[in-house]
Amino acid sequence: MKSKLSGAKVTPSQSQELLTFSHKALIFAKQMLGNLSDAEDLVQASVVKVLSHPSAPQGGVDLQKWLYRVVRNGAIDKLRERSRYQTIAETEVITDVSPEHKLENDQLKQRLAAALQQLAPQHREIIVLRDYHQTSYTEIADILAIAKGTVMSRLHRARLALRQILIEQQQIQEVHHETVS
Amino acid sequence: MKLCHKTQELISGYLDNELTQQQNQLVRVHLETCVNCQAVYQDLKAIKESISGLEYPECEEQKMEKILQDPTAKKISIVGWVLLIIPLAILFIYHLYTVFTVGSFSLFSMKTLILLIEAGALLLFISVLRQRLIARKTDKYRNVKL
Ligand SMILES: [Zn+2]
Repeated sequence: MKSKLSGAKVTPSQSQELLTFSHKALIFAKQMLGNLSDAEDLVQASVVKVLSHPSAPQGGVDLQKWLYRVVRNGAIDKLRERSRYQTIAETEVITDVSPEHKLENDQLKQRLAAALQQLAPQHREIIVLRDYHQTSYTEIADILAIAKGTVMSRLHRARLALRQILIEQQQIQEVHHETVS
Repeated sequence: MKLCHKTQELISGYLDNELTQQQNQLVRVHLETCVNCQAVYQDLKAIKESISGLEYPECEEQKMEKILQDPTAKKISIVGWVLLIIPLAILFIYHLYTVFTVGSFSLFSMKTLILLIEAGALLLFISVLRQRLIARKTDKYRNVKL
């Protein structure tokens, strides 16, 4: 550790790197917690925690992974406090699909943010890590502290659950539309 | 239908490009023949693409730097300043008072005030030292205020 520190040269790009990582972590925290001021507090605490940890990586992808992980754990704690957090059984999601329940692609983006907030935190985190933050399966396994082999199945269940929410939203809208017109 | 079950979660791996060549082949062939799985695939693909395109407001650099400031250091230094300033102010007022009247100020209160001033100075020193130590430890990020 000594050698790592004494030999380190400071470049503006490295402090820029931390800013970039923190910004990504802030978005992730907001995705998890749903509100910005909680997310800011969480990222603030997480950065201090990571930087003052003796074995934290000095930079690069590993530092980013650490930051995601600390933010993630902090977010789960926070959600537990709010007591909206419940562990979901891995088998809970219905995987049977019939073709008549199809998602309409138009306006999907507008409805997604709201649908994501309805999703169980364990489903939400894995989806945003993969699809928004472009994290690989190996990195996701590290961040969430799960086996690499479970990433794909959990991700798939999460996506099906999200699809289910979106389809239900769509059906509610349709019913609403019919009664109005 | 048994093949559907086998293909199900592979659909996500297929979308994410995380499958082996053999698994890839399996999914591709199945999707061509199965309406149900094809529907799931299309929906999940649309969801994935939309999420990657979600927009979140840029956080200004200044604000980000503010977030990155260490809250503990700030607290220590605020307490330090308070401990330093309040007893000094009392001493000053007392001094003014004694210019006009002659009274006896108890040795005990004098000692307490001086102790508080010393504690304040010590806390300020600790807060500066702490920041220096963190800055040294995370040398490469010393441009970022901690
Ligand atoms: Zn099928």
